[in-house]
Amino acid sequence: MKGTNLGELEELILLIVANLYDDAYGLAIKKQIIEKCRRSVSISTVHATLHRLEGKGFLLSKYDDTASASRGGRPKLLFRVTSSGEEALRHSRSLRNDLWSTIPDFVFGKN
Amino acid sequence: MAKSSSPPKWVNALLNKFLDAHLSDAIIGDLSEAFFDDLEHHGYSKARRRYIAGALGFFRYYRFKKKGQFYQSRLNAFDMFFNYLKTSLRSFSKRRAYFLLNILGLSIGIASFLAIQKYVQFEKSFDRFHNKPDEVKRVLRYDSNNNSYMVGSDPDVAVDLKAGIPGFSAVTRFYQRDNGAFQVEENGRKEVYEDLNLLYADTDFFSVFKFDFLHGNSQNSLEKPNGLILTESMALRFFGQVNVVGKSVSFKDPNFPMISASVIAVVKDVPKNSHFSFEAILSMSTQVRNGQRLDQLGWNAFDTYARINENFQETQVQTQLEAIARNHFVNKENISLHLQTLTDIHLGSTDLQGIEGGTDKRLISYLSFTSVFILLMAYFNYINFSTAKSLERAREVGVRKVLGSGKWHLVSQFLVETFLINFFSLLVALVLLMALAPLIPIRSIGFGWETLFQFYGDEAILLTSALVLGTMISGFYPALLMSSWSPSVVLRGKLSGSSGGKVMRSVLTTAQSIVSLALVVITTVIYSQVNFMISQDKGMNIDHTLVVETPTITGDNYRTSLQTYRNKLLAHPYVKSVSTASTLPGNTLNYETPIRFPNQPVRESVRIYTDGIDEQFIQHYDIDLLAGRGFDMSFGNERANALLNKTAADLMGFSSPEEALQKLVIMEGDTVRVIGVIDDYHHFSLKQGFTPQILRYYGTWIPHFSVKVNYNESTQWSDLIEKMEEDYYASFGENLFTYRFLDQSFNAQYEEDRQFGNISGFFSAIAITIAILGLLGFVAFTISVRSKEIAIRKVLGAKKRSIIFNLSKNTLILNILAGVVASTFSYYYLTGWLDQYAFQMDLTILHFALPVIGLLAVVVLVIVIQSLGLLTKNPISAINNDG
Repeated sequence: MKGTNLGELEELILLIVANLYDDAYGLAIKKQIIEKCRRSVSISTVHATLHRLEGKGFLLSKYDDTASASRGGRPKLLFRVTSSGEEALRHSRSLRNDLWSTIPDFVFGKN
Repeated sequence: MAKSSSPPKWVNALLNKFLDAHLSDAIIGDLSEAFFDDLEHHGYSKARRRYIAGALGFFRYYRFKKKGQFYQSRLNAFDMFFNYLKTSLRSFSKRRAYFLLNILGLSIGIASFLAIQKYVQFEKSFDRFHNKPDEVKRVLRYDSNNNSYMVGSDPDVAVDLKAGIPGFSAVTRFYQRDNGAFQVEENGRKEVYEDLNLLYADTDFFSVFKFDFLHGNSQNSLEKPNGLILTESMALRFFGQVNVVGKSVSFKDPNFPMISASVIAVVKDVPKNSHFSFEAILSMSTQVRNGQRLDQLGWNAFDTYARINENFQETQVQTQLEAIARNHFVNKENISLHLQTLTDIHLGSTDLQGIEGGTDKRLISYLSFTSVFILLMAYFNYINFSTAKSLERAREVGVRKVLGSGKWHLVSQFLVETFLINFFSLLVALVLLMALAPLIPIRSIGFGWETLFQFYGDEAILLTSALVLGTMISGFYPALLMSSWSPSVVLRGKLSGSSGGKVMRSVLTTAQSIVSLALVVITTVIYSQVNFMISQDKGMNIDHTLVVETPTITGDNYRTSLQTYRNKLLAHPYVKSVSTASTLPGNTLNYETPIRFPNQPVRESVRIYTDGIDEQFIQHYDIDLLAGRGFDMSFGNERANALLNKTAADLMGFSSPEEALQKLVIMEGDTVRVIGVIDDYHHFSLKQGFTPQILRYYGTWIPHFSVKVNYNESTQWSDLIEKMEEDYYASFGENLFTYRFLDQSFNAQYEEDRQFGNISGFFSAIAITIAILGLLGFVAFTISVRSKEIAIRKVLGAKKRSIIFNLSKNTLILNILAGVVASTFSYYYLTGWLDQYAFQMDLTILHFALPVIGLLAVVVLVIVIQSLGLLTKNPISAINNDG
C-alpha cells in the first residue's frame, strides 16, 4: 500500500509528536530530535516532514490560541497523531518485532 | 522591543510574501522562538544568522510555497529567463568561433556607429549652450550683385537695428582680431603673447550670449574703455592664476596705438562647440585712432547679433530689415539684411563669404547615413550567420517543442541570445573605441574614457535605441525562422541540407556589397578631387617659398629696420627674391571696391577686389603677364598705375588684354591707368572660381615678407631659417619670429576636404571589412551545404574550374547587380558633391568600374580559397558524411 510506509525521519517525528502529546509543534520536535537522537536537523526539514505526514493523514494540526511574545506574537501549530498514524506506527513496530524475533540466535548471539 | 533584539524584518517579509499564509505563522513563530533562545545563549549576531539560515531553508521546499495561478506563472517565466541565459551561454561556448565572429562584426559596427554619432551629435550641438539659443539671430548682409552673403557689417548697423526693430531686446556687434600682441609684466618679467584671439565688444554682448563668469560679472563690464575680460586659460597663461581681476596688461593692435588695459572679469574657456571663440574681450571704446573710436571707423568688420523678444514677428521682420537697409545703405540697392538663427550657423555657413570654420551639413548627413549603414551591415551579418547556423539547432528546437515549448518561448529564447551577443559586442565596442581612438580620423572630439561618456547631444539615447531596435531586427527574423521547424520533421531526421532564409541571405549580402561599393567609390572620388586641386597648375608658383610675418610691436625706426631686414634676407645665398603684398595666396583678399571708367555713371561701377603689391610680385610668384608691364619704380610714380587680372579685364568689357592697356579707370576717388594685365592665378583654393582683381603699387605697407628660395638638393632649410631668425631678432627684438611654408598654408585650404576623405576612407574600410566577413560566412555556408553535390560532380568528372564557376556564378551576378545600384547611387551623390567646386575633376567610368571589378575579384578569391579544401579532398568523404 503506497503512502503508508514510513521513512526513518517520519517514524521518528511521529513518535516524538506522540511523546510530546499536547505541546507538539515544530521547534519542540526539533529540540527533541537533537536531545534524544543527538543529530542535527533543520527547522525547515522538520516542518516539511510534518507537512508531508499531515498529507498522508498520519497527523492533524491546529493553531493554539495563545500568542506569546517569545514567539514574536505568533501562535503555535500543534500536531496530534491520528488513528491511522498510530496504526502506521504499530505496523512498523510489529514488522520490526517480527523480524527481530525470527533472527536465528547464532547471528547476534543470545541475549 | 529594541531593534537589536528582534529577528530581521526583511526575512519575515520574504517569508510572508512567498510562503503559504496558513503555514507562515507557525514557521515564523518557530523561527522566532529559536531566535530568542539563541539570543539568550549565543548573542544577537549568531541568533540572527541562524534565523536567516533557518528561514532560507524553507525555500527549498515547494510545498510551502504560496498557491495561486498568477503567482506561479510569473515565477516560472522568471525561471525560464535564467534558463535561457544558461542555454545561451552554453550555445556560445559550444560554437565559439561563430560566437567570436559575431562579436567581432557587431562590435566593429557598434563602435563605428558610436564614433560617428558622437561626432555628429557634437557638430549638431554647436551654440546650444547659450541661453535660449533659438532666440539669437546673426545679421547677414546680402549683395545681389554677386549673389553672396557676408557676415561682417559696419558697426552702425547694430545701432540702427536696435532702434528700428521692436522685436529685438538686445543687439550686439563684435570685431574679431587675431594679430595683436599682449605685453604682461609679472614678477618683474616681461612676456609678449602674440596672435591671441581677441574680440572688441560692448556690454550688450552678454545680453545676447551666455558665457560663465568665474570672477567679476557681466553687469556693465564692457561699458568703460580699457576693460579686459580674459578666459580662464589665458589668465593662467598670463599670470599663473585665475583670479586676476584688477591686474593690468599692455596691448598693441597693429591698427591702433599701444594701450594699457585692466582685467575686469575672468570667464570660463569658450566651449569647443561654439561657432566663434575668443581668449580675451576688450571693451570696444578702448581703441581710438586719430580721434575716432573703433566703432566710428565704419569698417565692414563687425559681426552683428540680436536677441529677439516676444514682440518679434517672423512675418514682419523682413520688411523692417528692408526699411533699415534702405536707410542705412544709401544708394546701394544691391545690399539687403537677413537673419540667421544662432543654432543654424555652424552647419549652415559654408557658403558665406570670408568665413572660416563651420562644417558642411552634407558631411554630417553623409556620416550619419554611413554610421547607420555600417550598423545595419553588422546586423545583416548577424542575421546571415544565425540563419545559416539554424540547421544545427533544429534538433534542439524539435526537442524543446516536444517537451512543450510554444513558439513564443523559443522566439524569446533566441531573442535573449541575440540580446546577450549585442550586449557583449557593446562592451567590446567601447574597449575598441578607446584602444583604437588614435586611428579614428575624427580629431575634433576624443574617444578617451572621459570624453566617451561626455554627451553633447542624444548619442546615449540613440545608441540605446539602436541596440534595442537592432536586437529586435536582427533577432526576430532568425528567431522566427528557427522556431518554425516542425518537430516531427526534425526528429525523424528528414531535414534536407538547405536551411531557411536563403533568399534573405542573398538580399542582405547584396545590400552589404552595395553600401561598401558606394562608400569606396565616393571615397576615391573625394581623394581624386583633392589631388586634382593640389596638382592643378595654379597659374603661379608658391613652391619653396617661406613667409615671415612682420613685427606687431614697432619702434621709431620701423621703416629702416624693415628695409635692413629685407636686405639681410636678400643677401642670403639661398634667397632668390623677396616680395611683399597686402595679401598672400590663400589669404583673404583685401576688400572689394567699385570701379568705373571716367565717362561712366557711378551706378554702373563693377566691383573688383583690390590689393597692393610690390615690384617683385609678378616675377616672384611666376605669374604670366598677358599684356603691358609690371610695376617698376624707374617709370616714375607707380601709385597712379594699376594692373588687372584677366577676369577683371573681362568684367570691365575689354575684348583682349591689350585693349585694356593705358585705359583710365576711377577707383576710390583716384584716377588710375591700367599698365598691364596678368593671367588669372588661383589666389584661393580651386573650390572657388577666379576673382576679379585690381592690383596697385603699395610699396610701403609690409604685412609680411615672402621669401623665394633657389631650391636644390643641397638646400639646408634649417640654416636659412636660423639665419632669418637671428636677423629678425637683431632688427625687431621684442617680437616673436614666426614663419611658414607658403605651399603648406595654401594647401591647408584643402584640409577640410582631405579630412572628409580620411573619414570616409576609414569608415568605408570598416564597411568593407564587415562585408568581407559576411561574404566569408556566406560562401563557407554555401559550400558546406553543397559539398555533396560538388563531390558528385567531381566523381562524374567535372573540372575544378567549372566547379568554381558553378559556385561563384550566383554570387557574381548578385555583386554585378550591386555594382550597378551602387554606381547609380554614388554618381547621383557625387555630382551633387562636386558642384561645390569651381574646378572639378572629370568623373569617368573607371571611378565606378574599378571598385566593382575589385569586389568581383575579392568574391572569386574568397570562393576559390574556401573551396580549395573541398576540391582537393577525396569526394568519398563528403558523400559518406551524413550531414
